[in-house]
Amino acid sequence: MSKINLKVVLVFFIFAYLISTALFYSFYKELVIQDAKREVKAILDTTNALRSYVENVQKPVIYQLKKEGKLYDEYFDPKVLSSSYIARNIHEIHAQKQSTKNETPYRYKLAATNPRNPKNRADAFEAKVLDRFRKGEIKEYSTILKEKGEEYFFTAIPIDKNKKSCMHCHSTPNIAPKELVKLYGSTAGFHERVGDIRAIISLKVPLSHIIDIHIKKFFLSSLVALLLFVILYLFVYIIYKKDIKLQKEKEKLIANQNKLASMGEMIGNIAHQWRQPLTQLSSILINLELHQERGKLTKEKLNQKITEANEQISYMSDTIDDFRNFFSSGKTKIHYPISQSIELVNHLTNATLDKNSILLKTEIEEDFILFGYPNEMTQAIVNIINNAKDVLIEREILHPCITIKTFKIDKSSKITIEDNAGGIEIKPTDRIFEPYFSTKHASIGTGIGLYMTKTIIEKNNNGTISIQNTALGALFTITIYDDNE
Amino acid sequence: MGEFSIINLLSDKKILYAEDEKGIRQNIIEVLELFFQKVDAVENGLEAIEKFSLATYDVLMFDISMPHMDGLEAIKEIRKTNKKIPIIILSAHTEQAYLWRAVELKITKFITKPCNKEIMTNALEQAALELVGFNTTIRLTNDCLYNPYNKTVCRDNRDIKLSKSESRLLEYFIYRANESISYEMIYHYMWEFETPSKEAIKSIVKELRRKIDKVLIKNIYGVGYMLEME
Repeated sequence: MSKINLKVVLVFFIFAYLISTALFYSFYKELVIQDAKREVKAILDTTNALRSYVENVQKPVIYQLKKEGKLYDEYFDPKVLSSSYIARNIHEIHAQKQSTKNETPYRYKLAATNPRNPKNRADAFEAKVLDRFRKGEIKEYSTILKEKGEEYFFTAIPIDKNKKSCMHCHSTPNIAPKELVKLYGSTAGFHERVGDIRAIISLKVPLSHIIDIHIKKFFLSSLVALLLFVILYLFVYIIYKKDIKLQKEKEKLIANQNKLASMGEMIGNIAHQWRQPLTQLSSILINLELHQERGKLTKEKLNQKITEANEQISYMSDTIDDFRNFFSSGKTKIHYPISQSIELVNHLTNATLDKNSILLKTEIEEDFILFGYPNEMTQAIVNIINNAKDVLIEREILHPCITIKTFKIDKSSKITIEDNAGGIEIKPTDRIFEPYFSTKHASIGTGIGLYMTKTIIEKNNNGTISIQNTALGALFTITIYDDNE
Repeated sequence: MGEFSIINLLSDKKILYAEDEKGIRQNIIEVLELFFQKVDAVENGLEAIEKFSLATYDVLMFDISMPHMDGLEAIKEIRKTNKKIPIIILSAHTEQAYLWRAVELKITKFITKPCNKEIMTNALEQAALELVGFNTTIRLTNDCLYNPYNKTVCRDNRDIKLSKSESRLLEYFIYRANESISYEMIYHYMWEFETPSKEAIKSIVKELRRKIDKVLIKNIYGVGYMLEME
């Protein structure tokens, strides 16, 4: 009855959780990269500042010493005079410390197309980036690189543009310190010009490491989200279970109501069935008494009237047996012919139908054996007939008629009940099977008769019931499948 | 043995009885035949109306629920032309709606089925009383009384028994006192389908005049008679 399907809800929840986690992950990744970018940029800026310090502070001290003759003129040592060398070595020390502390290793590189130290030679990618800086297209550069199956976050900025002071070592070999030429040769790193961008400095960080930094937080938050989803699902589950319980209680209530209603209906039927023989018995008694008083009672008349009265009494006895059998609901399922059910239907309803001049035709084209509770099937059919009867009376149909047919088609047994009341006006017609749905006045319609019929046939007899309008009126078709056992 | 009971008033009367159940109908016919001169029975309201239009009845007894036309419908139809005839309803219906409808139709007695002898005879007595305007004796003139229950005229302290046709005609006259009554009306009431002669009527009237005060029944030339009463 419940319209919620738990499986669908579960799948939906899993799906929603996966999507939200994926979205959250990509958002988190973006955030971490932004964070790394800011940090890396700061390191590179610091490196440039360090280079400026060597250039503007350290080198003039050495040159001053040379000028004052406290240091010989040919002196050159990259450990003191090469900003690239110093920066590289500082980063190497830093990287070593990082690796011992298990921190994210930052791989630093200075890349130039005309390097003094071959270690600093730019590869094709770095050369391209350097070229873009030279053309002034960009001020800084960040990207994700893929190397040997691992992703790296790469950021580069240019070193400060060549100044006049740089030309001391980078213009021609003959001005440069002798020891420099001796160390690096006379070709590498010369013939630079003032204002040019000589190199870029870059940092490469493995992406996995960056993401790892906050991954615990990510897992924690996704775990919390999971927990929330589970709680939400449990909530839905509890509501669903409660709903089912309520539904079951409601169905029980409806079944009871129907039993009461059909009990009332049946008592009405008994009253109808008995009124005629009771009246006949009373008229026989009046007849006998008055004839007796006038001395006109012959022996023949007395005997004839006694026979007549006995007939009526046995008819009444049969009637009450029918009803008693109908209400003593069998506890075990039995095999029974459908004709038996329909005959009982006939007995139970004919007094009421006769009283309203409604003709009940039964056409057992083919009798078939059903397995179940015959009284239930009888009740299901009686409910349909009572419904048809009420409509026939309400619409004042001229020659009211209800026809029951039984026949077989292929592997299914069918019972059809058709009336000539003009059909069902509600659309869709199926709505008449809903509980508490009634078109009748509250005094005669409880709205559960047809609902019970559907329940009996579909739940307890493995059948189906359908309704359609024909040229005459409403046609109910009960289909029972042969594998019903 | 009931020689003086009110119900004997019916012994020269005709009743029309309508009931669809055969078993009940047969028994009630047998009962009614004890009281009435003639009992006609029909199965439904339509037949009742048809029968009523063909003959003159003194009392009607109808069931309500019958096929084709129910008893109340039939009575409604009959009441359009006949306001006076006593009607007894014998029905299983006791619903308020039916009772209200019955009240509007001026029913003598509403009997619910099943009933017993007392209720049945009581209803018939009521109808009988109604037929004579609830009088036990009818004063025709100062020294001439008519007792409809034992069908005798008391004149000069002498009881004179009337024949069935005489009492039937006299009660018909009393019922329509001071109205002119045509020969045709009398034919219809007294003989139904046979073609009676004017002579036959005249001889009954003559006999009546002999037993009661002569001056009571006036000839109306070319039309019929009139019973003059105060």
